[in-house]
Amino acid sequence: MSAGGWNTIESDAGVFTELVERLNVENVEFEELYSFDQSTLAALQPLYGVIFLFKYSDLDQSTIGPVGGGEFDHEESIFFAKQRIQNACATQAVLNILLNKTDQVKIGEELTNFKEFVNYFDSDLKGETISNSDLIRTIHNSFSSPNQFVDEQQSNNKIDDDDNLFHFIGYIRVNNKIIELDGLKPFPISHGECLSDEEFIERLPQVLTQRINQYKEGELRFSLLALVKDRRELLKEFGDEDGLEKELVKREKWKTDNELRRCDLIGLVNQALKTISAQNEDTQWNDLLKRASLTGSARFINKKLKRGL
Amino acid sequence: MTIINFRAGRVIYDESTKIATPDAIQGEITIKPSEEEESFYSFEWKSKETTNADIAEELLVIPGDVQWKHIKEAETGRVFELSFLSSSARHLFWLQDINDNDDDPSELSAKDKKILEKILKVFEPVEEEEEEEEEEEQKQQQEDNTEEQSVEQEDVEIKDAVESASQPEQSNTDFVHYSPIYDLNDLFTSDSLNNLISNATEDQLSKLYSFLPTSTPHTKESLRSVLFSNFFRGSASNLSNALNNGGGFVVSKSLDLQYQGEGIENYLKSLRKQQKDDEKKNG
Repeated sequence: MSAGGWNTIESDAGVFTELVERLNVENVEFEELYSFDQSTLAALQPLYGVIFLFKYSDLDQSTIGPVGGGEFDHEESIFFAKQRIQNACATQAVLNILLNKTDQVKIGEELTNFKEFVNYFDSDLKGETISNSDLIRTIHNSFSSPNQFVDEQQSNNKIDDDDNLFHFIGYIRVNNKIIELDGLKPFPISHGECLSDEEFIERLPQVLTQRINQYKEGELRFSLLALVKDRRELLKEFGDEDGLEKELVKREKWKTDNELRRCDLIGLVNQALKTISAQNEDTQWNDLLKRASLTGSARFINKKLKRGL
Repeated sequence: MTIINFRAGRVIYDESTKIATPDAIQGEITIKPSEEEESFYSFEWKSKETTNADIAEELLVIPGDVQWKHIKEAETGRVFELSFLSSSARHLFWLQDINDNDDDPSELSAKDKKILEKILKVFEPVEEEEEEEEEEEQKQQQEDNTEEQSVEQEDVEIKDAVESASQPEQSNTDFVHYSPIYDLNDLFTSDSLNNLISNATEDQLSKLYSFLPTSTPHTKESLRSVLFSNFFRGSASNLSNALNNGGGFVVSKSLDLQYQGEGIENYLKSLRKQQKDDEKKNG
């Protein structure tokens, strides 16, 4: 693993939640959205912002202005860091949202200091500073497994990676406007006046739909993550014990998953194969290998057939 | 070049009722080398009736991956099953040439037997020439790889490595060559993982548990959930990638295996050897 590098991390509500918790942000969590109509969003109030993540396409690359309507907003009081490193873009998008919501979210000492430090930097330099922050990078990288063989495989994965280039955009209400924060654009994008959090929830579905409609039908793979208040706190306030129970189970699952992400399971893979080997006689073992090779060939051919050879 | 052609109709099998119904459409089966992929075959069933002329089914067949079996339980006709080992898909056909035996419509005629023989030959896994060629290539690769590594590694280990790489497959004289395994995940089917867990001895389990994250409880259930997780799959593909891309030596060192050459196959060979040696040692 190269020193100072950023690893890719999964875009998962559990990962992002623990990531901001480790940065000492208080009382928030991420929630994956399976739909984004007004009533879904209303149920999540208070909603601090939404991350729209999608497969980066030619359309985004070739468009210099806003992709789904709106206009550039040059207001400097909006915190906006441009994206410098592909692998850092998730964390960058999270920070772009959080650092604009300090009126509603306690972002903790580290991020407060960071925000002050970069306050007068332009958006390029802000992005650069995030990329160079040891603290943020270390926490970000702690969500990927310490793959001891990573250097050998890097070159091999490039072709597939192109398919999986994801981009993260934040949507928030700031300065009484709906603002889109796309780290690959030169400025924040305003989607017009928005005077209250209720209005944000009312209008956001339309803004998102407009963006999504720019892509050919069926072509866009995307998901949405909402930044909301810690559900456990909310459910406690409401006295919803069933809901709280479910929430705790979810948190437990996040914890286990994140632990597995950090763990290098190659040793377990090796041990599992040894166990299978110990449990099988030569003929069975050879049969297993044969099947595996055939499954592989079949997959290879199917892929080829799908691509039209 | 082998082209096999004979008259046959489809048999429609209903999974829910387990009833097989011969389809009345007159048709024929043609098996010929695939135009798309050398050493593979195209298996095509096509209607011969003018009214149903465009009904056809084409399957791509890899020798070794398919079985062509006479279903003897079908007594009212001669039914054959084409099954794929890799996908477990099955297709049934019935022979439509008359067999000249009025008493037993299920008896195979001399012509049928000849066809059966030909098909079985075509569906046999490829060996011989190709194997030699590939082995040559592999050997070449192994040599290349060991050469590269000799720059960075200690002398003694290199000697070992070259020695073992230049004596391929001593113990596996009956080793039939199939295409290489690309991904270790292909070995971790849900069947093999379930068997692994249910057949594991206490000793095997405790070794497996020692590779779990620290806070994971040492139970079969939690082992199961880890083995069936995407994280485990991810690690298996990371290891596969390393092995497929010249990382074999480093992998062997870090997993404490004897280096036997590059690639997943060599890794598995050395893993099996070590496991057997351990078994002997421990009585």
